[in-house]
Amino acid sequence: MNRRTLKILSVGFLVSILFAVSAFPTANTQPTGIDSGLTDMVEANGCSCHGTEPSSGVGISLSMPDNFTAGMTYTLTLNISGGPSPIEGGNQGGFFIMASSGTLNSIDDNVWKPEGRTHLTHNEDGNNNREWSFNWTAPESDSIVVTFKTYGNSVNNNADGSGGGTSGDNWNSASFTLSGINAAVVVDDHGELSTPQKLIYGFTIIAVTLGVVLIGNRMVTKEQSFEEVLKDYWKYIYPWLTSTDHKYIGILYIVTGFAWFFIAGVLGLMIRLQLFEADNDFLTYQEYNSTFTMHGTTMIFMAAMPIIFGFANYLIPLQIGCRDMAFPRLNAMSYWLLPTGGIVIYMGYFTGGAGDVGWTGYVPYATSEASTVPGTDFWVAGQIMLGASSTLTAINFVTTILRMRAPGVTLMRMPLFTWSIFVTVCLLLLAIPVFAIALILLLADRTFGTLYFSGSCAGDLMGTTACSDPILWQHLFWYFGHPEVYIVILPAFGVLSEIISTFSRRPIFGYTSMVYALTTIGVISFVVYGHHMFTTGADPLFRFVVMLTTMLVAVPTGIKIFNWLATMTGGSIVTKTPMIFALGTVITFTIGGITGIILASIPLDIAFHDTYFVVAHFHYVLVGGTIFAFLGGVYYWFPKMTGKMMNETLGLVHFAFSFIFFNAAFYPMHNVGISGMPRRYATYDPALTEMNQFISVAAFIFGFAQLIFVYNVIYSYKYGEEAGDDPWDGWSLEWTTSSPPPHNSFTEIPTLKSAEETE
Amino acid sequence: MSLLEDIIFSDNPSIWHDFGGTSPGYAGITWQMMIWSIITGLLVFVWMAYNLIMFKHKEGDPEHKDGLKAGFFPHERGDPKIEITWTVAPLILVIWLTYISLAPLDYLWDVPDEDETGLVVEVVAGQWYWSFSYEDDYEVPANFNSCAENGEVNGFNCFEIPHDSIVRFNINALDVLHAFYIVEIGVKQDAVPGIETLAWIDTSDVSPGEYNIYCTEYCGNSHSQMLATLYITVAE
Repeated sequence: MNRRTLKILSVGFLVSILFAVSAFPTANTQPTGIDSGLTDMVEANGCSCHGTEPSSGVGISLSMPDNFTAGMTYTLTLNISGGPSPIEGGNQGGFFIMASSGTLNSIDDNVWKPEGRTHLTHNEDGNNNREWSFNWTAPESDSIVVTFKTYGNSVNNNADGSGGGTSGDNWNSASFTLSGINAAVVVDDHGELSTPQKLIYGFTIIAVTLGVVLIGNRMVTKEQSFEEVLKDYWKYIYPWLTSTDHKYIGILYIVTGFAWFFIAGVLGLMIRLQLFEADNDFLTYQEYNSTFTMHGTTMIFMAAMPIIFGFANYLIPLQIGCRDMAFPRLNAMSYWLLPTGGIVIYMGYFTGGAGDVGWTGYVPYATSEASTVPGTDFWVAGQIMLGASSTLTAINFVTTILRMRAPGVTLMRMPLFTWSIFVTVCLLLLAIPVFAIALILLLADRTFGTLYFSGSCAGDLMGTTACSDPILWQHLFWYFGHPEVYIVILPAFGVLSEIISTFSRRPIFGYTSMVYALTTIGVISFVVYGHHMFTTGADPLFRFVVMLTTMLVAVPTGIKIFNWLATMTGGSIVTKTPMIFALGTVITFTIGGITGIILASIPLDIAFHDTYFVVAHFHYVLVGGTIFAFLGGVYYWFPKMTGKMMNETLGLVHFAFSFIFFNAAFYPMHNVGISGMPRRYATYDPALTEMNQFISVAAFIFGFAQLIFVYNVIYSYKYGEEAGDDPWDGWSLEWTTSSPPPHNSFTEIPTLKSAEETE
Repeated sequence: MSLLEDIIFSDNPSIWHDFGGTSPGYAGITWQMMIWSIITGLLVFVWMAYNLIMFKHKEGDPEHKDGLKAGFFPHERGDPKIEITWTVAPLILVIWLTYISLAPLDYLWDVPDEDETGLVVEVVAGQWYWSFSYEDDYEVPANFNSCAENGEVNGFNCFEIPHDSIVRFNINALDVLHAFYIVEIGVKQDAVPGIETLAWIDTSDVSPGEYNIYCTEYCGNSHSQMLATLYITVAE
């Protein structure tokens, strides 16, 4: 390390030491204790007294009577032990105590109570002690149990009087309960449940109750025994658990994808609830961070990708005219890795908080002490499983599409949905393994203390020169991450091409240019990832090149949009639900694409990077693009999968609510972002409250509108009209087989003829 | 401002005026982006509306000779001239947008050397605070007391710099990634542990007053509390 860096680091270190005592927003303690400005922070998020993590080496004890009588005053003594050795006459420690009931009062010069608050803390004189006494007056009722929440900080006096050195200091927290003399003895509970835990338990209880009602109802009405009912259900469940049929697996993927979509949607609404007002305490900061991490990870890896691969599984063999995928067992394994990996990721909630590193998992935060919750380890491990699942799927699709096409289905005669999936799986095959390797390195960093990413120079300020590179993770992550977002959007292009052509009653305009546009986007996607790193301080030339390549993506994307519109021109447009969804997607995706170009311009990106403008951009592309297109896809292919038409009226109502409230929720995010609100903020400038409340309300309506869709699917499955083989007059091979297709997909392998041959 | 006004015109002076040293007004990059966005958006929306009005399917429309039939790969439609047009036109547009992005980039990336600046500020980001210090030989003007007046310490989550001066920030991070973002000026630079990164502003471009500094790279629990105030004051 050269002298300059050393000098700067030392200056930085000294400066931080010098000022660590003033108003720390995170409720760091001070020589004068925790004043009223910090109380709310301590109550909501705990103390981070001279350091972020509590130390189990510090013990706190509170001497108090066995029980209390109403209105009596008691003298309590709080004592801390452990941590650095006490220094006679110097700073030794500090404390904080708050009672759930009754009144705390200071009785000497060592303890004070900030104006308008109920807690006690040490003062300048009191920090030369490790033991403090004070009075507590019991409340008017002695049939209750009172809880004392305490923090104790054991310090080593390395600050000189006025300053405040915090290094080497340790702190811990403890709770004590004191029963009133008439209180019923309560068995100790296992601590407060966090909000997400409450939700998970709540939904589990609902699911179990429904199951009991369902089985009980069967037992009563059909007069069956419990075993008989289960056997009956087992008959339905068994094929789903064991099938290697691409149609079964496809539907499993789709249903799993939508299930995670709703779970992650609930998480998204929790984020909006937290942001309903500034300084909200609906979630603690830790819970909030877990919530947006799980929302992002779930939506990308467990909702969008499974929905896509569900459709691909179901349709690719049908569209290219083969009976099943190339490797059916591998296909089943890819699927079963998905719910398993998902459950592993969600395990974090039961181990003290799910992963809280953001879906990007930037290091060194992801490797640091601060994110040692086991949830993050689960997050990494689960994602490795999902990565394996995607890699296997990709191999399977590449083989199927290249080797198993029916006669007549040449490469340049494949339906565009098949083409989009082919390009997608090629991207997947090249990108996902890099991510899997990066995750394994991250796991090694976290568990074995290897130093791939940790940026450890900073952890060890004065000594070692063995720095590892925190930017490397970003390169590896975005080398995968940018193709990943195209993996999610390209299949949506495929769906749009199918729907728009079918409902315009015309062949797609410029089939060949559509195929070239798809492959071009695929190739470019690998050379644009640097645009996620414009503010990292990378070399200007690198940044300039990726700005140019990013801008170039607009060209093939533009070709696709113009081709869709040209397909409609001169057609005979049938405005059924799938088409309405497809056209809505073109509008929202165009907006998302335009903001993408704005973000590609480095000067503007420097202003907008990591603000809500970016959040608005990718929700327009991923929800307004992928999710809307695949909702259209459900309306389009539901008749093929079930043999029943979906209800048009419900479909249009679903579209109207989704489209209006999607825009109402996400459009204002552009403005919030331009005003400077960064993403991943649990609170914000109160001046933006009005706008954030508008967004939250719209987001809730958007969320609830999706229930119309669920109802429509169930209703149509039971009561929908019969569909027939080709209800929309599509041309590709899936419409030549029956709806739903027979067990082997085709009774006879079809041949794709050319329209020219019939003339 | 009402909610509707907020949505139509977003008010952040750094974006709309004199952005990054480019020409202000309609020639500036923000306005160019805005204008081309609206043109592209309108083109798509109007074309789509036109299609929906003119080519809507009516009961009894005869089946077109191009019509789709299950099991038959349809006739190829297309027109190379039109397709080349809408390949080349966007290409020219994005090259233009890249080109106009270059002027502010040139300006942004030309970080002044330490001897060309009026002031070099050492910025240290840690979980979760900002600390600032003047370069060693800098004589702090006597009227720099805005932080103290607002109950803050000059140098800790609060800093005062002179107006009409080139100010360079040397940014370091102690623990994890942070990002230094002056909201109203639109300057943003990641703080990376182990690497010193640079940002700079010419304070003669902005009016004296109070500016917000946010951390914009996710850094843990109190990420949203990692705020600081920057005062730009005319030195006396």
